[in-house]
Amino acid sequence: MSGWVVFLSGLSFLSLAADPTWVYKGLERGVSAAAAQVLAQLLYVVAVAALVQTPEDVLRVPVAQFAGEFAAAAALLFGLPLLGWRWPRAAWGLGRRLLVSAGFLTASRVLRTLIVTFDVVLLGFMVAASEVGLYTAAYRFCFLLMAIAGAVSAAYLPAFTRVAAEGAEALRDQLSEALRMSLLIGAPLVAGSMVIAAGSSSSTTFLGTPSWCCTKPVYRLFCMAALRRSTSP
Amino acid sequence: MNLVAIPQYGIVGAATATALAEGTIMVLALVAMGRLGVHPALRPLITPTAAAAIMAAILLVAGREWALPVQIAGGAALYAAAFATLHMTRRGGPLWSRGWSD
Repeated sequence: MSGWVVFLSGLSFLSLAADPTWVYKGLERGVSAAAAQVLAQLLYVVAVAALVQTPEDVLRVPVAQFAGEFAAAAALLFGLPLLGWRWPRAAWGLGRRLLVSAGFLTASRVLRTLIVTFDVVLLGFMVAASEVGLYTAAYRFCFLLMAIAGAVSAAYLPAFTRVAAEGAEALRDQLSEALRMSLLIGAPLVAGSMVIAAGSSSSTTFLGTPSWCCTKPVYRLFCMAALRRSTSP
Repeated sequence: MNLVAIPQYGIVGAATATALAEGTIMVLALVAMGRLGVHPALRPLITPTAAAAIMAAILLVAGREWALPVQIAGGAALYAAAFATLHMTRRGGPLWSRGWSD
């Protein structure tokens, strides 16, 4: 059964390959890209709620995920001509340069994922399973903050590309504005989360386990990491 | 760092290593930006940072025992009030009369 789950989860690679969200982000059409992602999640949730009733239905989960993602990708693909966007002619030299550039980014992402996974693996060998669970829970909670910060940064990427041609001064102004906006959103989220989730008694009730109290220092440190994600250029 | 910190400090050590690694990334990114001749202005970052600090301090002192929804709503209101007050104090005049980009 688990082999089939892994196999069907691989379908998501197809929807990922067909997904033209990057075009919309590059053209600073963030609302359309975000709407498609919400559509994908909604379809996924509705399909899981409707089709998954028993443990035997687990195979339907990756299929539902693929269906939601592919529907969103298709909607964005059909919307491209409305933006006046046409598929470019093949430019192999440019493609090679992009591939090399993407290769470095991919390598750094893979390395980062390995490093992030490494601490959990190492903890698995050295501490109790319950502590690994609490560590992962704290990270997952902060991942939401990091995702918000990442979304703000991604929204500024096309603007950076545009002003880069205008020189260092324009880039400095754009960077300052991006940092200010990121901090405007990220700072209260991080500071508030640190106080609410790690400093008060209500967080224990919220997270449903008294063991969470042991994780407060971990959570605070992860919040600092989230703040770095909010503000780093 | 994980190899050194985890055996001695467990999950706190692992989280410390993660936070320090993120800090290192930030420093290196700033150095890289500096080499490109781009030095971001830090003054615009003061107001949101100070407003968040004020909100956190008030929540920590007065709001520890509030119910979670009240903490969240109160925190948002405190941040908005602190930000508006600091913005007016630093620039002079009400925020709404000068526009967002001031």
